Amino acid sequence: MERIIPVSHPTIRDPWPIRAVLVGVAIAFSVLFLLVPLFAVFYEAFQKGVFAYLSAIQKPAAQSAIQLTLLVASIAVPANLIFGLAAAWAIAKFQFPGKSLLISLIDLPFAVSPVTSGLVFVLLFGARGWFGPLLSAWNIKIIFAVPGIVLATVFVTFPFVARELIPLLQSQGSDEEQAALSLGANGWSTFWRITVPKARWGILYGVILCNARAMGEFGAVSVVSGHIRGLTNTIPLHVEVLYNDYDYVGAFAVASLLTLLALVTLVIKGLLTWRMQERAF
Amino acid sequence: MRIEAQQLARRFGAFVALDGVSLSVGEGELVALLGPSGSGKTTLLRLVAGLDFPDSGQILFDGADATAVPIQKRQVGFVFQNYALFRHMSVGQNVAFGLEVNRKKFQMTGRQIRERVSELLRLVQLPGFENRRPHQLSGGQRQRVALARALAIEPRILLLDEPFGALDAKVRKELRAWVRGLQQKLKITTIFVTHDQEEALELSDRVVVMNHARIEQIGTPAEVYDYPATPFVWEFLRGTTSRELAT
Ligand SMILES: Nc1ncnc2c1ncn2[C@@H]1O[C@H](COP(=O)(O)OP(=O)(O)OP(=O)(O)O)[C@@H](O)[C@H]1O
Ligand SMILES: [Mg+2]
Repeated sequence: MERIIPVSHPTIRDPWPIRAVLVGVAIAFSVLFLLVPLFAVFYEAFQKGVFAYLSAIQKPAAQSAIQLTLLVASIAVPANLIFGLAAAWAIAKFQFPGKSLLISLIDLPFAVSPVTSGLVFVLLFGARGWFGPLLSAWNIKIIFAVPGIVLATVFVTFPFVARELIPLLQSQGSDEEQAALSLGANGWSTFWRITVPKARWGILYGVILCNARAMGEFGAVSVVSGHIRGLTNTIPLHVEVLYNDYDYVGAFAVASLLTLLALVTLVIKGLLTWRMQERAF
Repeated sequence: MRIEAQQLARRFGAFVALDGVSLSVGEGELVALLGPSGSGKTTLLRLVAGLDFPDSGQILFDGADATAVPIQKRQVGFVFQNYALFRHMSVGQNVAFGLEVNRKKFQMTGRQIRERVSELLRLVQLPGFENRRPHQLSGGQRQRVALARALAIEPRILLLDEPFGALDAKVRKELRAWVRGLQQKLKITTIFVTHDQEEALELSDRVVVMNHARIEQIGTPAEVYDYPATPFVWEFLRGTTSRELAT
């Protein structure tokens, strides 16, 4: 009889000096590149005390940057949620011509440098862009205005929800959907009662990452925004402006908001990953 | 309800999955589709259910053409090979699903639905299981929940794809005797897929032996066993290798 060797125990054991060096290097890198900057942000922000911190955040320009960021995210995230759901559903459930092209196109915003993305919108909608004359004839302003920032953000954060959902829906197959159809449900209620709840943790995961990027995007937004203080500065752009003005406390105070967002995102992401593993059976 | 399939053909690209298959199932009959893996059993069952459509041929329900009728309108109870229970819903919600999405048709209040669900769960011998989750059930219990869910919509026909395939031998024997009893009690026209010849012979009124996208023979268990129409049928039902092929 063959003996069954439990697989959960590592069969290869490296000598302890090697292990110690590898673990040491990993920890040193994490501290140097992750923890120290994190600490530095809050250290700088609070350097002149809590009061200076709060007043830096309450300045009108900072407030308007925060509001603009919230506005942009509240448009970009739902837009990409709807798009991501539709695209993932179509890709996971149907065969259609141009499917692999669509899959590659979804990744485009990840592949292109954000600056290039921003420039594309300037090229399209800027005063001298393709649609520039048309837009100015109708008195619509996109570039150096809020619509341009929204467009650039939507473009940059386009892949998050779809990327998360495509493999999830594919791996879950369509048996449950077919069962729902056989029980008399139409396509619409099958989607809302079966597909969406089944993928709800994945959807939330994609939304959280999408939101973090939408609020934190710098490159593409920087190109289309025009940096008009109190009007077209988002939080990341405002941080840069403050920094260039040598207002370090202000810059880091506002930056600490983004850092907090990142920490919250990480915690939720961790919980969701755990949740999705629990549920997979 | 009577089911007639006439010259059904289904291709996937260049691959022929069904090649002119004709079959008729009488009112209240229990028919087994028996054949080796890849012979087209599931494909045929899906065409009857309306989960898929034939390239050519016709399907008649009680003599009326149902070929183009979508699955929602066919009122068939389909039990999937892997049960396909809704994993984010409780057992009760699973069974109630068909009644909930067809509230107009069934004209049932929430309370009536709950009563019907507990009645169905008693029928499949899972009384009081409403609040369990599918992952808290054994294979045999999941199978019975899938059956209760399919029966909830008062289907005119019951289609079972390898209903006992995922169960161990003992549970399988118990469950199939029970399913046979239930089918006779409800008098519902039933087609079930299997690649276990013993199961087909013991359980069904008639056996349909399939091979390579075609039907080799249709007959009562005694007919196909005693008078196999082709060498394949003989080999598949009695051959020494058939038992291994089937599992
Ligand atoms: N959607 C599909 N696309 C391509 N080929 C398919 C598709 N569905 C089935 N086939 C092919 O058709 C053939 C018959 O499949 P089917 O599922 O009907 O077999 P089966 O008799 O149910 O086999 P098993 O006992 O393994 O379930 C198989 O060779 C299968 O690969
Ligand atoms: Mg099959």
